Amino acid sequence: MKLKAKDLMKEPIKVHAEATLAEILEIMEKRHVSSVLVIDKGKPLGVISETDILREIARGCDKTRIAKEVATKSLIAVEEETDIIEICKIMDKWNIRRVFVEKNGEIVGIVKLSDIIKEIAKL
Amino acid sequence: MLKDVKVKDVMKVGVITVSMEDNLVDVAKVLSKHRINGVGVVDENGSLEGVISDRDIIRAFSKGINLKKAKVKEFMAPIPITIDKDKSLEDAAKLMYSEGLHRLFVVEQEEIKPKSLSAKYRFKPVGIITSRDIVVELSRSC
Repeated sequence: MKLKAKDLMKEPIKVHAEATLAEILEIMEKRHVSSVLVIDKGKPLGVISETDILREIARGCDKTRIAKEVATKSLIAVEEETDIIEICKIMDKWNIRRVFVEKNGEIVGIVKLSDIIKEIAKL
Repeated sequence: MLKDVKVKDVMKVGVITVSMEDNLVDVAKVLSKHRINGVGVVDENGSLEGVISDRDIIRAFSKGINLKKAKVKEFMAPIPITIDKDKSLEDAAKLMYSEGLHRLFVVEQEEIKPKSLSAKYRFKPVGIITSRDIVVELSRSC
């Protein structure tokens, strides 16, 4: 399998850093996504995944909290030419379900674990 | 409030399972078809023995293992974490977070005619609750 990040990636769903948890939950439900990319002043600040939502519930449910408070502020990104095996290694090493794809310092895509499973299912 | 909603009110009844002898490409097909991240693994009695997830598959894939020859029993996580159907969604969310999981199984203990003297009961998977179910419920309530 010779697929690269650019073959697997999709456009990430973005939310503003000031968006409330209530708004984010609505987006995640309506768009059927398990994560959103948080943008602050035009630049990526972090990611909010279902794990972050579970953590919010565990610390007491406050849907007025905003994206920049809830987000995990480390983004793991690969380049467009990174191959599928390398992406799997990164996901396994960091225990993550998605990597972002970077080009010239900009986030241009997201590769999800489910996209890779779809390709493996074709083997 | 998530405290007031019980697991049994939200869980998906009926659990998609695979057998311990299936290979990892078979599992990828099941996960992809049903758009899920993991499935229960049952033995010949239908008793829940483990769980295999998309993470287990990509770990094997990244090591160059031939996934068509890789059997579920060699890669599954044994002893899945379960939750009582009468617990609240808040309990489920806390358990998922503390265990680093995205799914919990609900099982029922059933007596079986033993094929061996040691197996008198099976733990039949009857439901599953995922972090997705909690996100959806939370977006509507709380």
